[in-house]
Amino acid sequence: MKTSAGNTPSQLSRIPDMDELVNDFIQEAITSLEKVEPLVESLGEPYLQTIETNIRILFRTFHSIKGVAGFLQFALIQDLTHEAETLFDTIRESPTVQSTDVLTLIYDTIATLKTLVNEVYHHSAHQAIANPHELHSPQTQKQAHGLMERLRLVHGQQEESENFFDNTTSIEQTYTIVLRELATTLHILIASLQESSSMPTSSITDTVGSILNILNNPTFKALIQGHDEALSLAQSASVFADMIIAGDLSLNEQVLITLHSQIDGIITILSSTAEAFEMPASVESVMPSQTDILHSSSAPFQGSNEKFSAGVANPTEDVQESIGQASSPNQSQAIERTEIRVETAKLDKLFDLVGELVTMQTMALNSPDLQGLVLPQFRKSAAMLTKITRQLQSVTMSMRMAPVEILFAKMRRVVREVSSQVGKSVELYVSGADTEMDKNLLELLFDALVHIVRNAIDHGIEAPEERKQVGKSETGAIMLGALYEGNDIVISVRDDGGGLHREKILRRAQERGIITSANAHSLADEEVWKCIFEPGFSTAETVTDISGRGVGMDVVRQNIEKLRGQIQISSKEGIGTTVTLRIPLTLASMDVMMIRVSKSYYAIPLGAVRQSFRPKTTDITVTMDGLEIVRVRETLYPIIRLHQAFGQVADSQDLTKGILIIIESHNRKACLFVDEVVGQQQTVIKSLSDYIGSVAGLSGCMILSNGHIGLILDPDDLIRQAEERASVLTD
Amino acid sequence: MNSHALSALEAFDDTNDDINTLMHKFIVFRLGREEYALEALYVSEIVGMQFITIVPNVEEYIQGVINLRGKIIPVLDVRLRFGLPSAEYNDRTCIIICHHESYGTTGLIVDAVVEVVDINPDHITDPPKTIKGNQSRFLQGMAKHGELVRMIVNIQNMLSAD
Repeated sequence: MKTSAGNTPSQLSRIPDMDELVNDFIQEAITSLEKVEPLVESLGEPYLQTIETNIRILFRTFHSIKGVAGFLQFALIQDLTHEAETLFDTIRESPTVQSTDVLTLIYDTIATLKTLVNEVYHHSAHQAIANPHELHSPQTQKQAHGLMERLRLVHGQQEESENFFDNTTSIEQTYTIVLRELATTLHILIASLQESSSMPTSSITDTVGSILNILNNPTFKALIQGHDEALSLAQSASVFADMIIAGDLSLNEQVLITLHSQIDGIITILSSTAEAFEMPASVESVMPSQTDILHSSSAPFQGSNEKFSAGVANPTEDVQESIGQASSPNQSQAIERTEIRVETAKLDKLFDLVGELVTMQTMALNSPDLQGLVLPQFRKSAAMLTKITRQLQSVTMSMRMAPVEILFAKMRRVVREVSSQVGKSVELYVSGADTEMDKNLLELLFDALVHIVRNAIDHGIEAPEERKQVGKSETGAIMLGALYEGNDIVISVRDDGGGLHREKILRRAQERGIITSANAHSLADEEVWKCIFEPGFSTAETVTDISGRGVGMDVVRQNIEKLRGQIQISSKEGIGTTVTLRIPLTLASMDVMMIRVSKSYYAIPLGAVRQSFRPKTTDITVTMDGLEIVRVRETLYPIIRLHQAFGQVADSQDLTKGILIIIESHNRKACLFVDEVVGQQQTVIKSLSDYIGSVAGLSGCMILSNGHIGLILDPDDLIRQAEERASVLTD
Repeated sequence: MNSHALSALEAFDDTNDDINTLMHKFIVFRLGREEYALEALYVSEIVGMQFITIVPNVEEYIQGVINLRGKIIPVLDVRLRFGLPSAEYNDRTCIIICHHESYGTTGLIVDAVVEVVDINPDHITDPPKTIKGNQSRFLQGMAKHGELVRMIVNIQNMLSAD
């Protein structure tokens, strides 16, 4: 059952819109595949209604990919989607809970499709069309063919079992398939008609060939038995098609239109028969009427093919949409397009511009020229303007937001796969899935979350027997939660497993020299858990595929910190472990404490600030090698004089005349000496330009309300520098 | 922006339309008494002196960053870059905003912008090899202009780190 428009490389590349079509296809395919991927999991859950809905969406998605791929002659993509679609079709006809094998198969298919589409992407659109055979690497080709084999096997089985139970479904189904097949070829034919001036004869004969294939198909022949009119139409059509292929008939408009009218007639008859099976009659309406064809086909023959993309690409899409509807009577209206796709670059640009707008507005409204003036009208308008820009800012921000549901849905699969690998039974519970965060951040969180969830299943949740012994339910639970806290989003992964083993971790940490045995037993639990984030740390006795190699949690921590987030663990032996990620809602803005040193303004990320105070002389100790130390309650902190670190002259060298700020990063603390604390604010972070690159002690810069630039400090680097200095001095 | 920079910029704008004409257009700037020429191809605009935020712990000739309509642009003091004694900035001091594909957008602080000129490539001779130290790497050639000799700046070597 091939709907392929043929394998010959066509001359479609001559059409100027082709690049765009291919690009659209790539975008659309990747987006829609990513959209449907989370739905797959539901097919394995015992809710028939959901299965029915989701399989329909999957079917439609694959169908439209298939259609466009067919049109663009990406044969492999077309064939693979075709096989998958057949599987979806059988599931759709009689929704049942699918086995994990089927789920895995669907996942694999989606993954391979993505690879295939990506390979198209990496060829230029032009090449992609010119050399369809060199499009895909042998490896993916093999993969795709293997998958098709597996798909055929599975839907073959399903079809069989269906035939066994329910014969009518299968007849209905055959009708649907045949009708759809004919409709597709018909549309390719229309495309050929419109393009016959620019399309090579070979691709038209190919289309005619596939029509002939259908006409000669035994199922088709069986179907039209008893419909004399259809039978005679089919006979004359196949004679006609035969002659075209044999070259007895020269290819021209008239010949193709005749052939088209014959096929059209067959479809009309068959779809009226289909009504008897309560098939929706709308199949008919999908078919463009004879006059439409005549009308639309005449133009290209007059030498104009401008309408190509509008005339051909859209009908193919329409057909897929409407066929999708036609075969799913319950869902009569098409899914409304409530979204449009926008290039990320454009969105980023918009975001930048809004940021600039806000800055410039602040500059304008605080202009020194206005100082001391009483301007009631101006102030009123200015307040309105401020309100509007604030709204604009929040709308722009919301455009980058996506619900964490996307992330959580992917975890379902992880839980299912990992738990079956380790032979544990685990149930996933989700809360706060509608919490939204920066889409870019979401993607960056994925790996970290997978890691944490895997760990929770592999190390956290006990084996079923063990759970039974301690009186827990044999099925373990993992709870994913998301909620807002201030400008952060907090994502937690909680398991009801055995909890962390303090002694085990301590022993391991001592072996690795992370902590010394002297202070080991006085350490608070939180301090002990932190060891888990040290590089190479693992208490797992056996290294498994899933975890235990100890390359996990330190990488997770690094990734979270790159997002300016924090990671925390809490755990109770026997009760379970909770890993909490705290991440800013967006990377684009940050809360900072503004400080001044001499004439320069600096910002310290608020997350790193612990305390600020004016020291007393008695609090300060200077070692004989000049290291300054301040005592706050019982703790000693090294002092970093910011003016020294940045080569400036402070207002006063006297520590008691300025302010000390305790900053913390990675559990290490130090004290910054500055002239003054100016205040707190939220700011948009900018890079110090690629030309300057990274600067010791700085992480970026920001635009101040007076239009000048303030530098944003990097607490981690400052503390590290201070420690290095201290160690040089003490060596 | 001061009037000198402005007039230079206007002259520049008039000729901004065709890349072929830009190929031989040069922006002439002054450091002390000497005049230098920079291929106009790289220049996107010329602005007067701006408030510079000093960036610590970078090369001495990198003065810091300026905020040009919301864009953060690093600025170099060309005197310091060429190893010349630094000079006080005054109302004739200009920042030439350049764009180079390898180094992005940068600002060059010069004593003054003089004019925009056409220089015939045939009139450009190789720079003398005898300039003290390694400073000759900043020069691409010498162009005679009436009584004057203008030094054509090698922007690549000027912007790249040593």
